Amino acid sequence: MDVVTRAAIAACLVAAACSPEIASGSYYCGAQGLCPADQVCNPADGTCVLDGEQSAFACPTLEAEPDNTPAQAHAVPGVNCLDTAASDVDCIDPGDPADWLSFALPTACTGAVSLQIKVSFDAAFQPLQLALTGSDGTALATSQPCASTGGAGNLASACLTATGSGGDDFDLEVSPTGSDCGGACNFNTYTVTIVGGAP
Amino acid sequence: MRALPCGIGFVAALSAVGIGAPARADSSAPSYIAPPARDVVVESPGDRTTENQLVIGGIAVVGVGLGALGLHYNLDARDDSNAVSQSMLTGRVWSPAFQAQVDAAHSESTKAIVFYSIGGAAVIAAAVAYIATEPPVKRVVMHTGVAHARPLVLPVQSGAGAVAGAVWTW
Repeated sequence: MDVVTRAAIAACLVAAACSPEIASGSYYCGAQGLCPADQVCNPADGTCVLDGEQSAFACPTLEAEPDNTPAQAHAVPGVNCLDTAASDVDCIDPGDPADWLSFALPTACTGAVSLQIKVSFDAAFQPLQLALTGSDGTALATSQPCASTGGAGNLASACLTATGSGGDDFDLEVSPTGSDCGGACNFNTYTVTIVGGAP
Repeated sequence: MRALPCGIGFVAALSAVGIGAPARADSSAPSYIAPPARDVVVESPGDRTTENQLVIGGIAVVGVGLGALGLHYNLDARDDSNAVSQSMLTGRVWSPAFQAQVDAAHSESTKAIVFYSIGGAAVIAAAVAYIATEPPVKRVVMHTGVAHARPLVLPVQSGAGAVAGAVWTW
């Protein structure tokens, strides 16, 4: 019987690849750090790696902190009303409750300006959301998951739309929402893009 | 029809063509050529019984069938494995669908090994049984040596002549 079993295994090997072979680092982590059974999500780069190869998450050193209140918001330059995007690349530290950004529409913009704001983030870690407020603190809009994520497959995104006019100032809150994997993925990197144009 | 001894047949043949009158072999005549007797031995494989053929053939067919089933699962496992196997980062994100394929591949692989094992064992068992139940070889010995050859003289009734011949017996 032993010979038969060996022959069967040999035949299986000849027929090739009975079991999947997934190299460490060959997949991005799925939502909430989902990875193959024998791998874990690497917080450092959001890929699935063999247990023991992962590194701790760390925001880039150029992150604009502190920015946890509207008063501490850091400005996003280049917002316009010409349908071109201004962007800000940033990071939510582990346990960070929120990042605040601010921007202003140029005074040269005439009439109503449509604002389309999107935050893209790594789907492996804690999801993020947007909340837009006026300079006086008035809540203007909150984000919803975007209809189309676009970009790399490991990214998720949230979108909001609002209307403003030339010279308006805005504050934008980026905050974690949803599961933080029991505290294991309460961080994320993100990119905010702001497009102003005709309604 | 029962075969007649050669001597009788020969005499009967002569009578039938009218060559001679009824004759009688001279049993007192001396023997002539008497080569040493040689036995011819014919060996032929024994016949398997129908039951033996059915049982062994059935086991072999079942074994091959199970092996084929194992191959089916093997190929399914290979397809699922190939669908998720990856050696470098290509931008794919791990998902429950991939995990389902991994689980399916493992399950199919296990089934393949089981069916290969059982099927292989059945084929081997059939082969062993085929050898072990080989029927004995049949041996037939034919004794072909000429034991006696006696002269035979037959008188012809209507003339002065006679017909000479010989009678062989085995």
